Amino acid sequence: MWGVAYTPTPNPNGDIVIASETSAVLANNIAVEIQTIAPTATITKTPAPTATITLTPIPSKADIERVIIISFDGLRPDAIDLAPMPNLIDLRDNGAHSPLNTRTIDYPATSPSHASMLTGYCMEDHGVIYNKFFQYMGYAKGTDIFQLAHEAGMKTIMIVSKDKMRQMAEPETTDVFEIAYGEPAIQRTVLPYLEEDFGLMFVHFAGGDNRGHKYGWMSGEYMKVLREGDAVLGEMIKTLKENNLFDTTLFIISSDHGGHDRNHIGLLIEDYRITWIAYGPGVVQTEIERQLYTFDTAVTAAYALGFPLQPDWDGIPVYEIFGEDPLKTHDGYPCKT
Amino acid sequence: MIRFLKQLILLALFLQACGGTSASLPTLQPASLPTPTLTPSHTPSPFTQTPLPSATSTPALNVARVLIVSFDGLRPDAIQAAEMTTVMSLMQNGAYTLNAQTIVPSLTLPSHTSMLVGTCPAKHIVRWNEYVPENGYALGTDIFDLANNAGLRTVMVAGKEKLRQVTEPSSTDFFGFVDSTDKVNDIISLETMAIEEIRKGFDLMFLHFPDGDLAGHADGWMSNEQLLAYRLDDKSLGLIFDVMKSRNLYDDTLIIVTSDHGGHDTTHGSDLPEDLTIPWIISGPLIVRNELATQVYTMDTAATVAFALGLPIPTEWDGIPVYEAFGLPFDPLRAGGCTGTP
Repeated sequence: MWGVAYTPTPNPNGDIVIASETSAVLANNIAVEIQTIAPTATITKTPAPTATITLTPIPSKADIERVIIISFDGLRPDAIDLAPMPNLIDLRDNGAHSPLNTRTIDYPATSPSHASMLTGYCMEDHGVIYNKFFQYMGYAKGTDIFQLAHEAGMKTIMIVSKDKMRQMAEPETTDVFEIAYGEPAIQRTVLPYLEEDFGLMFVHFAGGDNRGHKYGWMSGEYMKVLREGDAVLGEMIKTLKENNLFDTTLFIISSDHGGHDRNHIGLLIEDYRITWIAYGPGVVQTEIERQLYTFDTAVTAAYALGFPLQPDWDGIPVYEIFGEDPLKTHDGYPCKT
Repeated sequence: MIRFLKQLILLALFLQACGGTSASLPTLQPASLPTPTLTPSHTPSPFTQTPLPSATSTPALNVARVLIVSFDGLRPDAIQAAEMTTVMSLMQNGAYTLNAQTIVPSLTLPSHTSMLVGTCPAKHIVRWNEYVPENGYALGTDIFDLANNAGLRTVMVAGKEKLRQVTEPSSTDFFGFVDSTDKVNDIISLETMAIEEIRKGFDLMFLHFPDGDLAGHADGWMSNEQLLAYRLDDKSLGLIFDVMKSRNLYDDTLIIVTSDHGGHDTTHGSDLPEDLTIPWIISGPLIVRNELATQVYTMDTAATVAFALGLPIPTEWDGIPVYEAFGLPFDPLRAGGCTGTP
């Protein structure tokens, strides 16, 4: 193929989609009541009396048996309240979250960002420098949490909405890998896996990104699909509770990038800013003020599950979610790109 | 001081040889060689301080036009291995370094964007490596914008359509691409398109040969197939130079030959030195023949072109002109390169 262009044509800027400000914040209209023991800010070392078994002990980080990482593709943190996403709001307000201080890597695109989120490395280290399904490029390099969980004998599950997510982890370290397009399909796929024990699960909702590219970020359609994804989250919580798994599960809810207009190529800070919410046993109710990066997600999950922290990881565990003082914080953005 | 005197003598001789333009001699002499500051930060072009009377009609340093040639995926060690005689003769007649550095990720579109926009990816934001028209064009003022604003004729002849995203259509007078990867037989070849544009005349031309990269992905970097592709591209470049010589356009053209990235195995994009190290060769009027001691980054290409054409260098550019190639004082301890966004 070849082509020439002699006449310079002015590039018409696409009509700008105005964010819909119409949706009102629902106050405490929560679909699923979460029965949880209110986590206390101080970790008491006094063990529960052994004689009385009926007393429920204070949940701590040691109670975490499994981690679910949920990624809403393209979810801006300011969209959670506007959509609204009641289940997510409930997890956020009862857990730890970073209001506006978490950002993704310098290439705010789905594949590189997710690879950083799930491996704990910068883009130059995990090698996913492309945003398409390039099977010949192999898989994200380095030690990722799926490998650690698999080696620890845990069942690892990945349920994604884009086929290119196959490259985030090697097939031999993911016991279950399923692709489900659309929120109802994700719900049908994910719920059976929540009925039995597992170690690490990654669920990816692509609806927000797809609608964002088509209708614009913060548009009505974008908000609508976020609500649908949130309803699936509610069903997941319900299923976990029915199977007595909820109280030992750590949730980390994040996103890969934000967006504006109909793209997320990195023009504005809204493209880089992502959601970061943690909820589970031992997680204290707090707002994290310091700067977090997307590669902290994998490292925090590894820290919660007691895996050895890899020395070459660029992420740092978010110690604050367990009420601990951070042993280490980021001294600026650590990546070259 | 001796170097300065030598420059003056050279300049005087050259202008005498040209003849006819003796009226403009006194204005050109003092303005052309101010000493640039040694600070590694963004130094504005010396021409911004002393603007020439008419930058468009009499370009500075007697550089009438600039041709940037990019061999996609060319590793410096491939020049000798592939016997690229045209490129090697440019190295003999000009200044060169075989240790220039490109950006991370070392991919075609981000690297070419840094080369021609003069900024790191954090500023031009082109980090994708596919043709994604809906993403628009690289941010910032690129070399084509500067040249087009000065009324120069800008031409881009590329082997990959995605290079369209380096600059806006309004800032190139001609953009053409020949994609040989699809099965469609093209009625025009890359060098034919380039020669046609040379016949029409140009002030700034970017010429991109994709074949080495395509062969590298298929058969591996430094494979015989890739070296053959480079040798054929080098022959095409020699043909283009012959056309320029026959039209008397060669002697006053500044030619920069460089690459976007290297490669290893059948891939590139990492921060390995094999991927990041690229050749950077400059030849033409007023270029001092030697091997460059300064560290050259790919962003310096745009800055050097702007310096040579007497265009004002935007302050936000990360590249600085390679002053050493013009025999001007330079910073030998330059440390640069791109970092992530703070």
